[in-house]
Amino acid sequence: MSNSSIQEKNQLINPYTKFGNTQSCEHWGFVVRVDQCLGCDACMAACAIENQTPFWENLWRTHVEDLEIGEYPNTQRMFVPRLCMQCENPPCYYVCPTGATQIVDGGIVVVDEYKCMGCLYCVEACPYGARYFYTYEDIQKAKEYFGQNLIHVVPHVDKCTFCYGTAPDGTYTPACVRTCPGGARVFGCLDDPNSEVSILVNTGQAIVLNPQLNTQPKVFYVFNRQNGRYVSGGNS
Amino acid sequence: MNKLLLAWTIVFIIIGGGILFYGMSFNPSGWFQGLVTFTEPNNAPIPWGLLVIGYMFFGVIGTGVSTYNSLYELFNKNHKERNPFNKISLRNEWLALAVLVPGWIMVFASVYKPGNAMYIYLSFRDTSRIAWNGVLYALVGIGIIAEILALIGEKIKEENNGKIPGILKIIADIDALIVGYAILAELILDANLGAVFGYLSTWVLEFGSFMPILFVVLSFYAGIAMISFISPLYSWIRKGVIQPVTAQTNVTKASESGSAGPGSEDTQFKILARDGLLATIAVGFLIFWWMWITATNQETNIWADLLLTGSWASVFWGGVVIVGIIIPIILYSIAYKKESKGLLFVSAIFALLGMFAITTVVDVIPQAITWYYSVAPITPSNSNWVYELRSVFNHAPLWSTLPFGISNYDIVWFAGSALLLLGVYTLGVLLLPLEEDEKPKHLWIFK
Repeated sequence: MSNSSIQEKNQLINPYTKFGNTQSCEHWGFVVRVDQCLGCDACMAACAIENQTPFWENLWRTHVEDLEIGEYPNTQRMFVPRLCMQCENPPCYYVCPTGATQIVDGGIVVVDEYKCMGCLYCVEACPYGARYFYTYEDIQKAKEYFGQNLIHVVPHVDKCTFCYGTAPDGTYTPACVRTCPGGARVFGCLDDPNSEVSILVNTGQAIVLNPQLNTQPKVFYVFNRQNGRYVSGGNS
Repeated sequence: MNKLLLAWTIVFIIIGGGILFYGMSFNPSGWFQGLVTFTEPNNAPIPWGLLVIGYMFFGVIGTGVSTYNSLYELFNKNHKERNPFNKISLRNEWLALAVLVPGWIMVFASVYKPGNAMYIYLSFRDTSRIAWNGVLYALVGIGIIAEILALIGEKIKEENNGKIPGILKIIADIDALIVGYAILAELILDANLGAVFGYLSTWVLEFGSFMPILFVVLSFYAGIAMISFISPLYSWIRKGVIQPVTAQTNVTKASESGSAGPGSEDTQFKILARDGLLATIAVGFLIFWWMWITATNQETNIWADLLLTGSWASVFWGGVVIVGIIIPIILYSIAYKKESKGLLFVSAIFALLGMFAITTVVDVIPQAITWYYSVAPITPSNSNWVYELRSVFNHAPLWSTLPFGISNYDIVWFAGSALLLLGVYTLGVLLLPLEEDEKPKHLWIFK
């Protein structure tokens, strides 16, 4: 099945969650400027509150990896934010048996929680480990933290949706982007050549994770490198 | 009606059903919607656990029993006297259906919201192997039931000089077509079950084409083992409990005088030992090939290490190689040579244990290594800048083996399903005319 036919088939708006972006774009994209990430984890906190993720189980839609690279004495510390890659060619979509995983406007992969049966095939198939299961116990626990204003009402597989339609001010910007103090996370329309994400992607410095899998991620990473070494704290 | 078998059936259906009801937290409708607290833990590092192993195990055995039995039936269609399993053909088909029952139960139990499985059929996604599993399981079930009805229909035809009632006539008239359809559906289901494991994130794509071949061969290996396990057992029970003297005594006498026919028990057991030996050799070769290509591929050799020398080495060498391949090859060979029913029975037990070990490693190994990520191009030209991103996302440790845990939920559903199987099998024996000398008397199909 070609990507375009998938898109045509799945120009769906999930009726059960509050999607409704005010901007339109066929390919939303995301750039992580690794050198500008402070490792403060504010993005994780913002996402957890915005999307009511089960942080009590240490399960997140986005998280920051704290890496040490190199060998002593030439070691470096590096923070790498991780989230769903919103693949153009998503393995999770292909393996979903019930049609719960859908590709909606803007090429964003979402899960219809009322159709998900919890077989976890998508969790197994995602090469980026971006999915987890939101259980009935998690819903009960979420009530303790968020009262009755629950986003998730039935058990389902959950994942990052670029905060699709959940921005409280009506604009379409993910919570992690709005919160990031270092400006490490950039969100925008890849179709617009003047958008910041397009400019960063077109620098030639942007890379994607596991490109050999042909998943065609829409999340890019930009590293600041000098003489072949990662440089912390520099500008991209 | 035999009282011992009746008591056995009632006890196992009540115990098995009761355990399954407990597994639903005594709330079937809530369980179907995923709204019970007694469910699988979410933080299990390996998501597909005992229930997935269970439905593969029982699913492949069930299809294997039917495929093996049906092939003999199909190729001896016009010469039934040449079919060594002609007398037990109907019982074998019932055995296949009974073995599939726990498989079906565990398919549903292995998902969080079984009720939503209806969307497999309502919004079918043809790229999903699990969606195809849902369809093929149903098609195989229909095929085996149709085959049972066709065989009972033939019995009625023989009994009533060609007269046969209603829809059974149509089914009996196209029995060869039904048997062919059942074989095809079963082989595709086996291949599809294998293909599920070729699409996991941690498993290189080539296993998507290798695993179906392994599973098709495993269906013969396990199906023959199951028939070899049940047939002698049933023969002993029938001889000792149900009918102390009849056909068995005659067969023994015939055998002693050297006049055992193609359909005699001795012939059946000898053919089962021969076919079991061949199937075990085929599985042994495929397991060897699996290890060979896995160990010599730089992308997959960490999984080979895990099996050959790592934490799963005892299961692989002990369960798969020794119990599942070497011992059955030796015992099947001796059973064939000596025409020993007892050794065939013991061989079958080892082969079934081996089948469980193989399905376990096929399920666990692709999930056992945590994800790791490489940034590409990882090495810019003239640079020493190389690193890998290794994920600690969602409980996954670095480069280590993820632990395999069996939850209470898994144990409850596995045990309940397996115990129910014992009751379902004997229920069929009690109600249906599965033996050669039994005829349908009530409602067309019941004895």
